[in-house]
Amino acid sequence: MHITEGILSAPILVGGGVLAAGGVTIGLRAMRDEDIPKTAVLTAAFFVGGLVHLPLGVASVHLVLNGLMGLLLGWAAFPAVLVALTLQAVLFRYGGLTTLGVNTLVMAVPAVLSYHLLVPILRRSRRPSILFGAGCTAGVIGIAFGSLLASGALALSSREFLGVAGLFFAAHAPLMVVEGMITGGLVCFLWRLKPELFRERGRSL
Amino acid sequence: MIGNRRHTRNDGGAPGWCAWGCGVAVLLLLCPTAFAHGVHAHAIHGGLGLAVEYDGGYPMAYAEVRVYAPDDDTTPYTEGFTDAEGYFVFFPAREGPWRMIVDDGMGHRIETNIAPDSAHHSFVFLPPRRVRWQEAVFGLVLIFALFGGYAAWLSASQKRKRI
Repeated sequence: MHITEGILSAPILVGGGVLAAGGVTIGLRAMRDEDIPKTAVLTAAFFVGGLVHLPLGVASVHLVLNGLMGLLLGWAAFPAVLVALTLQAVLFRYGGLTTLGVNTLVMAVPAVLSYHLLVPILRRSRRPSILFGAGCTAGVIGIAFGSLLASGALALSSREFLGVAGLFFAAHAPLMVVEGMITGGLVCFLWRLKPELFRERGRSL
Repeated sequence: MIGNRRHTRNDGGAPGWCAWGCGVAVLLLLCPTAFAHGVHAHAIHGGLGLAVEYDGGYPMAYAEVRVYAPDDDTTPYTEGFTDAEGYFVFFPAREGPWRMIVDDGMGHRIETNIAPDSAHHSFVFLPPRRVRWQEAVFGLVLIFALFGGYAAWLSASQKRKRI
């Protein structure tokens, strides 16, 4: 999911950086004081999840957990993703510093989308099947929409990537299933443990 | 006598040799491909190469490779693909840093300069970017320190506003 340096064109890098900066600003404004520990924990989970690679055909994939981040953080997912990606780029050379903006968008936009689509359902329902379903959907949205955005960034950068954009999306299909199941299970677990995590509302934007 | 015989043979054979020569020339001209050399193969060892891996240590198989010579940064010296194990090897024609770009076409790309050893060609393994747990722990500490610092800064600024 991390797009490495030297692939994307300058306009895409700059555009991604500007949009990501906007998202981070909104996220910091939406983050309340009491959300900071939760954001730190989810940033740490995202950081560690990105280090666990699973073999998949000729490539390897890693957990992203951006769907779960979106459900629990909303717009605050933007600064959380940025911090985790920066540390991954500096410490492990994942992605790169020039692609931070685009990579932040690729992973944080689906998180915000999951938040707006699914948190209203989570606040209304207590049925485990619906909770699990909403969690699964968040996990699938996180990977599916993220890989669509990454494919779009690649395709917009160079026509050479048009052909592989579909392949990039298809390569992440198994991860969508894995991520969906994990996110669904975590949502059910967290709902039992601390349901107010999903009931709390962020600061109005 | 001998000289006479030679003289006689030369006089009589010249048109025959010319006809043979013309025939061979026509055959050569009409023949689309001439296999003038035999083909031999022998095993070679060494070469300059890369072993490319993803972060988790899995080989970057069948990724596109472009190699640029030390004195030509525009036209690839050679192109190809890594094998199933992520290996790519070529034989550099001269000394100097050779630029190699490996791209799997799916957002993963690595660019590196490697120079052949003057005495022996070398086989370079790109250092696998495996997770080092000290760095992971350091990253986690940084995350909590950063958010802790942000919380402290927010609380200090709110106190200042109240005053």
